[in-house]
Amino acid sequence: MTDDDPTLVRRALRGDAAAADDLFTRHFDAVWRVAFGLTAHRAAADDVAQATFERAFRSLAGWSGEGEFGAWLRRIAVNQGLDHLRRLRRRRASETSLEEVAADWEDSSPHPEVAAAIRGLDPDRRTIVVLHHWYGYTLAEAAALLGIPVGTAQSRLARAMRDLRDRLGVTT
Amino acid sequence: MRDLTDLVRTAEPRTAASAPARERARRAARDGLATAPAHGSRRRAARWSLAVAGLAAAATTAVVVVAMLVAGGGDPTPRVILPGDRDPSAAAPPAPGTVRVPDLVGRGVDEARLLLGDLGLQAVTIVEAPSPLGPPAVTRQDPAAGAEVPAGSAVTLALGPGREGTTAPAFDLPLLHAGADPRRIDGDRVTLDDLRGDVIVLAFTASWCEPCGALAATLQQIQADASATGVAVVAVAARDLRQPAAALASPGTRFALALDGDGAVADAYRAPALPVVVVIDRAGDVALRYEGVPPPRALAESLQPFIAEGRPPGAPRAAAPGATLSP
Repeated sequence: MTDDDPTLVRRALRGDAAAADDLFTRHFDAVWRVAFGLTAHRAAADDVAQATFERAFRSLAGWSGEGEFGAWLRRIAVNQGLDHLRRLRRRRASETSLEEVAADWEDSSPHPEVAAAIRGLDPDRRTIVVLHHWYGYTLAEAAALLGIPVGTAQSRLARAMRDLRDRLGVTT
Repeated sequence: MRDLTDLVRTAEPRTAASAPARERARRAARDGLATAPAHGSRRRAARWSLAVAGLAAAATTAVVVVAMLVAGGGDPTPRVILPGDRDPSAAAPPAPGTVRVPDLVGRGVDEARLLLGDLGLQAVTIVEAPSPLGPPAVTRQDPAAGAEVPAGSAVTLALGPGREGTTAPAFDLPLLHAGADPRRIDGDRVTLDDLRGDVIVLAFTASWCEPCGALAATLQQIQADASATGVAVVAVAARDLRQPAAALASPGTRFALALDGDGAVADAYRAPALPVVVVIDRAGDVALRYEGVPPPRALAESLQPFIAEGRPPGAPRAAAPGATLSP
């Protein structure tokens, strides 16, 4: 499996199922991680990852061929994850569903107490922390993904870090 | 002590998906590819070769609003009039920095939005009348399928009837505020059956929904103008844990306010993003649907044809304003 992503995409678009499978295998874990980070919920992450691959592979021809294929996939995953959070927000079910997954989220973190504090953030603030600090989006990129002004993203991140500092008792 | 930012950066959970979840996603990927447009490969190959040539993009962003043609017409078949319509597979590949607009006509609005989002394009939607309940489908688009536009451009989608039926789903909701039309909206619940025979304006809203504030003023005005002509305005509030939904109404609020605590009615009316305004005609069919805040006059004027329709035979009431029917 040494073909690069553009080659695999091209082959997949010609109907090569093995190439499509290789693409999936290569990128699934990264996509799922993004989904888990945004949703903080295993079942939701499964759903978001599944929807991401269905959407992405259906519109494979729409990838511009510029930039990394993995980054394109992750952006779709982020959009799917944000959609999930919006739906959840309307239902206001996050409080119960987040509790169910606490152990899974925290036990697999190198810093369980920090992961717990991040999970406990207001969802808007958690999202900006996750996008910026875990997935490396700049604040401008994160703001664009979220459909908010950069200034709002900045203040959300600042408040999130203040919240974390308060909860963890960290002095910097 | 480590810097907080370092701690945060390294705190990401290191877990992975279960094998069954992975396999489900793999099947979804295969399904997605199987349903992809058939003309992808030729376009794809040509685009790569062009990317090497490095042509400069023409960076003009033109958002053209499609003139609405079908509004109010009796012909349910969407007419598509688009400039530059052509077979996307036969077209030259797009220049770097540009994106080829996909063919979205006939697709559901959610799918169309996702496809555009995936391509880095923005969707601007115009919901046409008459539009039934159910996920609207794209009837026209601008620019046309196959057009090359700069990345980030807006694509205007005209939305028309989806595939589902038009009968308004029943509802039975606790009433938070009765409003100024006591003919049938009183007591502690409001149901579709109570209101049948009226033109019903159902506005899905929430106390956390900022744009919904502008909608409240419109609803207030419509109820003030129209309660004598058989229009019932009901705001349907999503639950908000931080602020009671009842805060959406004050003693002077003329429209009724009901609580959709579990979101079931919003789901039945397909109102995933707020606000959504649905107009139900006197026969109990969903006649109009607005996603987002409708312009005040547009909403009021769009009610007129439905107000003018007579009350259907057997409709339960013809009470004068102010009369109270409930026991």
